[in-house]
Formats: sequence, C-alpha cells, structure tokens
Amino acid sequence: MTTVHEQQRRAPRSGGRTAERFPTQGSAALQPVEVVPEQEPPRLQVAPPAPVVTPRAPFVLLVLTLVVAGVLGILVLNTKINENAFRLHDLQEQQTALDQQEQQLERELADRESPGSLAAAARRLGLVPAGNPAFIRMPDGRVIGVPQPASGQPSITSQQQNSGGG
Amino acid sequence: MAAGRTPSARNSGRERSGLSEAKKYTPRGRTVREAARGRDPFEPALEVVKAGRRNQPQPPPRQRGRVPPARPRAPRKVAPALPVLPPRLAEPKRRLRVATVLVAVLFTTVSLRLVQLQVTDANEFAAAGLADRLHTVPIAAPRGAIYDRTGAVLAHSVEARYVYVDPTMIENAADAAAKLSPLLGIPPSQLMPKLLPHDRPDGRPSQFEWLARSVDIPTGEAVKALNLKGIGVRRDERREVPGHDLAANLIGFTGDDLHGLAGLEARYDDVLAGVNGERTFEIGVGDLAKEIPGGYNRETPAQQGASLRLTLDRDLQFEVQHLLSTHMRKVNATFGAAVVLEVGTGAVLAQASYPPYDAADPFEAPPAQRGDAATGIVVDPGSVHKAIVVGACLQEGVITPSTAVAVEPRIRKGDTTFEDSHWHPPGTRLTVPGILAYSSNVGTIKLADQLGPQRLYEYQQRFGLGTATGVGLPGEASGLVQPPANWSGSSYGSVPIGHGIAVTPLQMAAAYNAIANNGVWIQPHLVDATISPGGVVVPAPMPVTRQVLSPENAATLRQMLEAVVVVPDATGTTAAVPGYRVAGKTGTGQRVDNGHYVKGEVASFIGMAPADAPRYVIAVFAHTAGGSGGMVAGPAFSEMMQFTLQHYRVPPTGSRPPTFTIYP
Repeated sequence: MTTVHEQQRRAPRSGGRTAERFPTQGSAALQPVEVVPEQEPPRLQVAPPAPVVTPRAPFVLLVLTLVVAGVLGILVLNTKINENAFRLHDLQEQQTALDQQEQQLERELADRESPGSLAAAARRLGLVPAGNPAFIRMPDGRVIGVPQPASGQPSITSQQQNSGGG
Repeated sequence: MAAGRTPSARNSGRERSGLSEAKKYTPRGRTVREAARGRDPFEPALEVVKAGRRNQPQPPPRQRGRVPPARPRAPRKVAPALPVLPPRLAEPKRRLRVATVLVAVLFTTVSLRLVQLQVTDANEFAAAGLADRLHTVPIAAPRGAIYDRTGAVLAHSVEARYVYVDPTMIENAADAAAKLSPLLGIPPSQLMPKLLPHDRPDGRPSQFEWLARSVDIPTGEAVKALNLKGIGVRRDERREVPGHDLAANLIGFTGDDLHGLAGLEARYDDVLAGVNGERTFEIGVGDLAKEIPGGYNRETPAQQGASLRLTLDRDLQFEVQHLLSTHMRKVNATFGAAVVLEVGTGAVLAQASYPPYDAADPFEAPPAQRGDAATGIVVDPGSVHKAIVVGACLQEGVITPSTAVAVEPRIRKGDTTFEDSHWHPPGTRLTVPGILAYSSNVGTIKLADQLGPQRLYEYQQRFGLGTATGVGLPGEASGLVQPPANWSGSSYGSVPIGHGIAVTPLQMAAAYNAIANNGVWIQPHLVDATISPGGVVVPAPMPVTRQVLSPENAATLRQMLEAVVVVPDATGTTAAVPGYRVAGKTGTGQRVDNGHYVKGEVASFIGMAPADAPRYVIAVFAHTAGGSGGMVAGPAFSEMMQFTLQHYRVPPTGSRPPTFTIYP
C-alpha cells in the first residue's frame, strides 16, 4: 500500500502540489490522508534592527565640511611650509652674511691684539718697558727688591706728536 | 511559446524588417502609443527615404497574424514613383563601430604609453629632470686654528674668495684686465697672459687660470659685480697669522691647497685639516630658486679640522723673539736660537729663531730661514756640556761638593792639547764651582777621566742628548753622541768639554731643565692639547720623564752653577738678573753643517732662575764670527729671564747666593 502510494506520489503530473495533499490512483481520488501538522514551537528569528531614522542633511553637511576643511587645511599647511622655506632661505643668507661679518671683525681683533700690534701701539703712545718692580710679600709685608723707574727711550714719533700738540 | 519564437528571433538579426516586425509586437494591456514609443530607435523617422526598401517583398507573415500594423502605410505607395536614385545612406552603426575601435585604440595607446612612462622609464625621466632642479652648496670645513696657551690665536683660517678666469670665454681681455687690475692689485701686464686664450702644456686650450687667491670677501663681491664673462669668483680659505713672524718658525705655513708645508702646520696636518662637505637640494626657477621643502635633499657633512693649543705664551714668545733679534743684530749673528722651558712640566713657553720670517708671506724668505733653529740646527755645545759631566760625577759619587782638582794650564789627550781660557799657575787646585765658573777645560777633562767614558756616555743619553726630543716639530735633528767604542784618542779630551758631540739647542735646554727639575728629565713639548671641532679638549700625551740625578745632587749642581754668574771674574757674569739668583753655564762651541764645522763660533748660555727654586730654564745659542757665551748670549739671557720672571710675576726668593770658595 505504502509502496504503491509512494510510486503514485512520484508520478509526474501536473499539479503535483495538489497531489501531495490529495493522493490519487490513476484518476481515482483516494481518501485524503489526514496530515497532522507537527506541533512545532513558534520559530524565533533574529529580527532585523529597527531602521534607524536619522536626518540625512546634517550628515551630508558634516562630511562635506570635513572634506572641505581637510582640503583647505592641507592647502594652508603646504602654503605655510613653502612660506617658511622662503623665510628659511632668507634667514640662511642673512646668517651667512653675519657670519662673514663676524669673521671679519674677529680677524681685525686678532690683528689688533697680536703682541706686535700692541707693542707698536704702545710705542706710538710714547710708552716704554717698565723697570724692575719691587715685590711685597703678603703675609709679613716684606718688600723684596727696589722699584726702579722705566729707563727706556720713548719713540721719537710720539715725542714729536707731543711737542707738536703742546 | 519560447520554442516557437526562436527561428524568427534568429532571423531578425539579419532581416531588419523582421526585427522591426518583432518589435512591433504589442503585448496585451499596452497601448499602441506605448508600443510606438518602444520602436527601433535607429529607424529613421522620415519614412519617405525608405520607400525603395519598403518595396522589397515582405517576409512571410507571422503565424500568429495578430500583429497589428504599427503605422499607416499610405506613403509607401508613393515611393516607387521616384525616378531618382536614392542617396547613399550613412550607416550609423558602422560609424559607431569604427569610432569605438578608434577610441579604443587611442585610449589603449595612451594607456600603454602612460604605463611605459610611469612604470618602465619613470626613474630615468625623474632623474633627468632632477638634475635640472638640483643646487649644490658647499659646506665649509675650515682648517683648525692654532692657539697659544691662553687661547690667543696664532694661526687661523678665514673665509676668502678666489678669482679665476676661463680664457676661452673671455670677450675683451684688455677691458677685463683694466677693470680687474685695481680690484685685485695686480698690474694688467700680469693679468693679460692669463686672460688671453692660450694652450696648456698638453696642447688643449686652457679653461682655468687662477687670477687671485685668498681675496677678501668684499673684493670678491666687487669682482662679481663687474659681471665679466669668463671671470668667476668662488669660495676660498685663507690662513691668517695675525702675529706675522710671531712663532712663525714653529707654526710653519700652508700651501695653496691649505695643507701644511712646514712646522706644526705640516706635522699636525692630519689633525688640523678639514674636509669640506656639501648640501644638494631641489630648487625652483627664477624667484622661486629656493629650497623646495620635502624635495630631494642630501647632505655630505663637513669634517671640520681640530685645533691645536700650544704650550707657547704669545706675549713671552714675542718678547723673546724681540730680544733675541735685538741682540743677534748687535753681534751680527748668522743664526740664533732661544728656548724658554717651564720647569716641572717641560712645556716650551717660547722658542725663537733668528733670523725670523713672516709666516704670512713665507716664500719671500729663503728656505733655510723658515726652519726652527732650536730643533733644526745641530751644534757642538761647548762648555755648557760641562754641567752634565759634573752632574754625572756627583750622581756617581766621583766627587763631593768640596772636591778640589789640581788644574794644569794644559792637558794632552791623543793628538790634541786642551788649554784653559782662564790661565792658572800650574798646580792650582780648583773646586768644582771654580771649574764651572772659569769653565776650566782641564778640570772637566780630569773629572771625566775619573768618571770614565762609558758612564759619561750613559749620562749623556740619560740627559737626552743624541735623541730627538719629540717636541712636536717636523724635521727635528737628533744630534749625535758617540759611544766610547768610537772614541779616538782626543775624544777623551773633547767630549767632556762638549766638542765632538752634536746636539740641538733644545736638547741642551731639556738637559738643564732636568737639573732645574730636581734631576727629573722631562720631554719638552709644544702641543698642550687638541681641541676637537665640538670643543672637546683632548690633552696631549704625557711627556716622557726619567730621573737622571737625585734631587740632592741636582740642588748641589744648581748651587755650583750659580758660581758661573756670581763669582766676580767668572764667564757668565753678564747673565745675572738683578734681584734674582741665577744658575747657568756659558758655552762656546761650533756649528756642524753636513758633517763639517762651519766657520765662526756658537756662543751659548743656558740658565735657570731663581736658582734656589727654579721656575724657568732659558737657553740662548748664537752663531757669530767669534765671541764667548758670556759676551754674546749672556746679556740676551739676562734680559729674557728678567722679562720672563716679571711676566709670570715670580718674586725674588729673597735668599742670598752662597759665597763660593774657588781656591781651597
């Protein structure tokens, strides 16, 4: 019975869906099988989240603002960097010039404070080397040696200048 | 349904009318207007021109037969009447295909080229373009400076400019020479040969000639402002010596490439020399010729030269040079040398040579004049050597301070007879201070006989004779001290009195420094420290020291040497310094040049002061036509020592020199 029934159920026929419910044998309808619906528990599904409804305009505005601000920011940054490159260049040139000036002045200073220049300047002023000094020993205040006046001859040119000025 | 439609759908690809027919199918529920709206868009709207084709036999009607006529057919019946050939019609579809292919080819080519440029050859192109934008700036690494012990500049490098010419680029040589001459201070007659096109020795045209080196920066800018074609101005470095002849013989000078050629500049060239670096970066064009931030940027760091700090005292050096020159001119000396050593450290405070030269213009002076006399000239020390004999005898216990020696007027050693310059009656007994005070040859030879040649030779070596001191100068002579095995018969007489041995003035000064320094010989040295570019001071290695005499014997010897200055008719009375106790010894030797004695005599005086607590040792050597150490070198020593003591504010010790017993 069951096998026949199975065969019959598999027989290709139009309206197959109806054939499940209502079994037939040839063209004869059989007693319909009581289909006892299985007692299934109500199926639980994860429901999709409730659609979030937000106003679209502020979001678009925000994105646009960010984009524009970003572009402008990069533009400003680049401009500043380039501006600074120019300033840097100018300052470096200035520094080079000042370095050279400093070097020049240091050179002059070294020339002027060299012993030869100092001695010549002293002679121009009519100075002469000092004579022997006396030393005073500090703890006991004893004087060692006899101070002597300078005995050198002042340079002739300094004397001439002095007499001319006087 | 689908199966029935297939054949006609297949045909419709070729038969336009078939497609049209198919498209004319209007499904149920749609209006004719809607159907018409969905008609073939390529079908021309004007039906008139299609008349010729419409006459063609229609395909067999569809089985369905339900297709309603899409549009009225009335105009078609008029068309066959046209006798004119229809114009050749454009075929939009073909055009479109061709255009599509063309555009596709175009874009493919462009993309291929783009890929080629961007991927395959990109680096090559980028590199080719980069070279045009690169700008290189040299980073100067000046040569290190040379300072004295106080940090005052003795030699330093300053930035300058050099002017060069490319003779092949010159347009008007005469005009250029006339304009450059006043700026560079060179007569046009000297400029012209360089400016006119000429060939180099190898036959190729010269494209570079120095016009002026070490030009001041303002002058360089002025030359640049002339804007002459073919004339260029570049960065140069100039070695400045503010003192000119101040310590010139020690410092030396540099050549055109700024490498040392003589003196300390040559000896410490690897320390002083700097290596220029350079910075290469991208720049724009014109007003934008500034560095492009974030662009190519490569920097080769400059390696600055380190600086030297010498033990010299600039002021003392100046005065010693001045005094030496004054006295040497007075006695008409061919050369003179003076060394001031600091007792206790062995530092060279001053080291002068006569005649001096100007280090700022070194090539004006003859080469012999540019050397350092105190280390480069070898002399027979003469009687200054007697202090070494006496010191050795004291240390070896051969004599005591109270020893007296019988002095004959003359003594014969080998084939030579040695006489005393200060005549004593035969049989006179002289104390050791007396031998030194009168510089008795006979007495010294007798002392040396008691000491023995081997021990004398050892003490000569221990006092540093015959070995270069390593003071820090290039070309320092080592001198020569013969071992007793090489002695001839007369050597037993000549060596003790300082003949037949070769020393430099500095070696003798160092030997006396050992006597002053309680018997400890200290290697004399000129370089105090090396200062790295970052300012880190690296002290020079400690000088070599060795104990030669015991402190007691050194003190005894110092006291004996005072007799040379103190005893009324002694040889060194001219060396006395008012207010101070001086110990020293005169000497008269000869100069050795290329193994031969040179005419004339080398007078010398080496002394120390204050004698009871020596601070400074000064040695003065002078080569003159004739003259004893006391006459020639004594006065110079006296003035130098007086200045040195006052310069360093050394008070007199206040003690009185002992009274010497010459004839016991």
